[in-house]
Amino acid sequence: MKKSLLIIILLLIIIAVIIWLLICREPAEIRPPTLLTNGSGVETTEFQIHETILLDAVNLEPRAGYDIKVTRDDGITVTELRLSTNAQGRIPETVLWYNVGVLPCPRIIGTTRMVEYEADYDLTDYSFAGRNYTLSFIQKSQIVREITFHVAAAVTRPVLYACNAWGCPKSGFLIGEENVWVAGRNFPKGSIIRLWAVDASSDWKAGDNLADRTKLYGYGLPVIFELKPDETSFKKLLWPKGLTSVGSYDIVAEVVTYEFGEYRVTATANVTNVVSNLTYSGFVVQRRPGVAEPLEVDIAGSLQSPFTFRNTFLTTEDVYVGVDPCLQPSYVGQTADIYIVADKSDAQWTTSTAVALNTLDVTGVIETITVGGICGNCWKTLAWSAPLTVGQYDVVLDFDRDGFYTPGIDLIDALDPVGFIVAEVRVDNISFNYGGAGAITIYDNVAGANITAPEYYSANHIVKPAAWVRGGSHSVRVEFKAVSGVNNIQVWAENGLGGLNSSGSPVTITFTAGSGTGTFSVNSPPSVIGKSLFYWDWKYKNVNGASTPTTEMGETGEHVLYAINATPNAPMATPWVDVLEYATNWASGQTTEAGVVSGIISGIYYSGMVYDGGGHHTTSYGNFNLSGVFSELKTGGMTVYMDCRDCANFFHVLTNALGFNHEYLRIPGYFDYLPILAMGHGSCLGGGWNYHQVGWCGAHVADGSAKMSCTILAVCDYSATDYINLLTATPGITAGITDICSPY
Amino acid sequence: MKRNRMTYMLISALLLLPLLIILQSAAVGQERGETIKKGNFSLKRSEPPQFLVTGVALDKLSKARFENMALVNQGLAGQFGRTYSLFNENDSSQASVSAAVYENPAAAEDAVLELLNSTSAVFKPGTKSGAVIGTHSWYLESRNGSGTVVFTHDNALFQVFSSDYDLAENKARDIDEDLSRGTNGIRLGTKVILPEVTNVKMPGDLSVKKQSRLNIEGRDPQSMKVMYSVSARGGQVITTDKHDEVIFIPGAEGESELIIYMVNDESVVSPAFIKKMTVGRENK
Repeated sequence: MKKSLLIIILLLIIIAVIIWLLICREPAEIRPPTLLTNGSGVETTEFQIHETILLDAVNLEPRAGYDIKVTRDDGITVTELRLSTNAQGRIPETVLWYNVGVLPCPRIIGTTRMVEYEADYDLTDYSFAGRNYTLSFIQKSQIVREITFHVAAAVTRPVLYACNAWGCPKSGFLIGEENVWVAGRNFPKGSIIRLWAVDASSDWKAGDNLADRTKLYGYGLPVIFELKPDETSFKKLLWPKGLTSVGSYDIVAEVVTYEFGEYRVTATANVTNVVSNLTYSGFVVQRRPGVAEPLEVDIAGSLQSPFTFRNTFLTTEDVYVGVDPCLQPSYVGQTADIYIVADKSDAQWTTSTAVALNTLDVTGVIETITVGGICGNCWKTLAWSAPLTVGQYDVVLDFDRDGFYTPGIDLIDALDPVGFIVAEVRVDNISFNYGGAGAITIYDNVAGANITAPEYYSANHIVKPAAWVRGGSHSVRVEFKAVSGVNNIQVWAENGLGGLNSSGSPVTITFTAGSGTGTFSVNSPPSVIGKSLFYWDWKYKNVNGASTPTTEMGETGEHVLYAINATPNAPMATPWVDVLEYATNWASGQTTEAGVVSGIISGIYYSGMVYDGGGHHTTSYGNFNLSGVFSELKTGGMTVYMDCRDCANFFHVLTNALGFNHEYLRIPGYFDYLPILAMGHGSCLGGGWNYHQVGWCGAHVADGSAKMSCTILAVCDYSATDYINLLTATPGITAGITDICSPY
Repeated sequence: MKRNRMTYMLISALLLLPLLIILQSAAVGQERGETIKKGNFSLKRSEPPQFLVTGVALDKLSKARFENMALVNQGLAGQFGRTYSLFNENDSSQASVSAAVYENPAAAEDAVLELLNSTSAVFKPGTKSGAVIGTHSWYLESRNGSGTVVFTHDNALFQVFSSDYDLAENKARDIDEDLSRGTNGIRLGTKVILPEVTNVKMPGDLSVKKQSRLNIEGRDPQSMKVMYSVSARGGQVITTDKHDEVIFIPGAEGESELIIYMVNDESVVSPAFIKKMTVGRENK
């Protein structure tokens, strides 16, 4: 009898296991409560010397303080922090341990040694290698959470860091005073490596274009080099001090086995491609502490009505200068001497303040300007009358009238980049969404009107955003102005999106009455969903068919381009700019529907918005006050409360703007829901609903308002039936109608 | 045999009579003191008030009752009137208040049941503190402390939300006082003058996916500024920069419908204007 009972129990267990295997599914997304990543953004608990460890923790008590301690396996505390959680009980990503095992540079080196050394100091403390560590969260003297990690005995991944000339790791450099070097270890033997200094971003995605900020091309500096057959380490000059520019940068080391200039995520998994500090800045270039911040403003402009600031002048145009009293109210009533000088970089201006400006002025006359109050055209002064000389220039307004450039007192246009350029030709305007361009018409929801081409005007640097479907071939139409005598030129642009055409295949522009228009092919249109901010550096050559050298025409930008997946659909057939801003951010780098849905749903859920069922932005299921949502999102410090209708409508507004065809789904009827972790809430609880509204991808549910079973975000991977079974045990609940909302 | 049949009919009639009476009252539901039910919510019709709320100027009301908060956004809540979203950047407190004025208390009572049934979360009757607010009230307190009080006061309907439930209830009580006294932007009178949607002009035939600009015509006898709330069945409505013009994109061939409300500056809501339209097939 007992035996048969045992057999029955065993059979039941086997059946239960089979049912579990057949029916139960893996949750769509379960992140560990404590996430450790290395500087390249790779989640791991196995680190190595020279790496930086970052911490991101969730499911803690909201708005509470925690002592964070890392203890080595021999009991020695190696780092201690005190961190706070946000309203959602999260410690957002922060550096836990910077440069594991790296020792500070001996002080003596900086004062006694020569500029460069063959052998670098070994600044590594190997006692940190090959050890286990415990990360403890301590609250009120109690350990509330622990996680262990390991620092490997040997370096297995490539390491890249900024350093000084002796290889000492260094993350801050003084502009104009300190060269930026870069050291790499554990790279493939004999590989060809190209170094990039790019704007710091915590959001690098595969396929992103790399835009080098050192601008060293053509200067013969070793931005590309080859390791010897048995060599795995290097130390190279990345950015000479005279050319550095204030900012925050990442370093990318590209092992050259393919075309230059595209960021590859595979790098982080494999040693051979690209290494970058993904989640924090590689280094910063800054001013010497205590030195006054320069006052860099637009000054040069042309006489139009009203006076308009301009970056490029024709040789036949007069250069006026003006100070916008709205931007510089403290200068109203003050008088300055005007100097127009050959362009110098920020670094050069920083280190050459003792040079008399009158020795540099190119105009021959030192005019003066008195800054007027609010007076449209009256605060401009002719500073350089035509004919001008082709070249690159800066303008200094010497307000203390001492004849020298004084940072913090004198106004300058500009440090980096060039103040203005004089050329025979200049860009007047650029159209992205012109007839035949295939661009997407977008709607400026703040101004209440569709955005029309041209999206860029050089006068007053007017920039409007544009949108394209990712990939494919794209072009822009550009109108140029030229001096008389220039009948045709060959033009191309470098920098953003891989540039437009090229020196080898420029576009010939023919001028009639000083105007000419050309269509340019974009060399590397964005291949993934995202927002691109970029500049184009314009160049021309071969004036009137003669073999003339390449001449700078100036820079345009900062252009704003949204790359979406396909032609947008209702209710965002003409996408709002704010919608594209959020959609391309949350779905950045994606190319598939699954990726986009996951990105958008996670974006909504983790946005900081808070679920509240009281009804906020939607009436009658589909009347969605989207402009109200954006008003609140843009109000700093304000919490945006959303109910399930808002989340469902926001979801398909965002995805359909990117080219998908989603809707909302109503699940009607009163039911008790099983425990959920609602958006922005810290605890997982059950309750009751009149009905529930979710996003709908044709056959599957997407829900950014709550995690089902406290852990599962539905990202179009659950059928309505499966989703309802997760949501409630109340019988008879089924999917209802689907529709799209009407945002307003 | 005949007598038996008569007896049965009599007994049946006597049994059915109370049922018929119940059904009739439920169907009419307008009689004072009667209980009306919609979905999961019910209320008892109120007695006619001495004065009606004839207007709610939300700008004045929010300045007086949310004095430390700045207006972040204002909009329409469809048939539920106008909404102000407010925020105090110093202490991060925030609130929103919606107001709607209807022709009579019964219309407000119908609207509040519609409102309660159209939110996913289930409101509880009364208030958390037990305080009596308005003619009918319901409340919702979220687990993170935010909360909403929904109440009618005679012919007016209010929703008061705050990041702090207690604040929402206090503000609802303050507003209820204003509604009784006719202070802080509340006007009282004996007759509500309703705005009215009179017509929708269409440029021609409607067809699937074809954008059509529709012009809404309406009148407000009080000549106040008005806003239109337009929703559609069987298509999408896109607002334009003109307050009385929308773009309608039909989604499917056949019958479709526009439901339009007009709300004036003092939150007085017009009756629904329903425009039925026939949509032709897509022109490719």
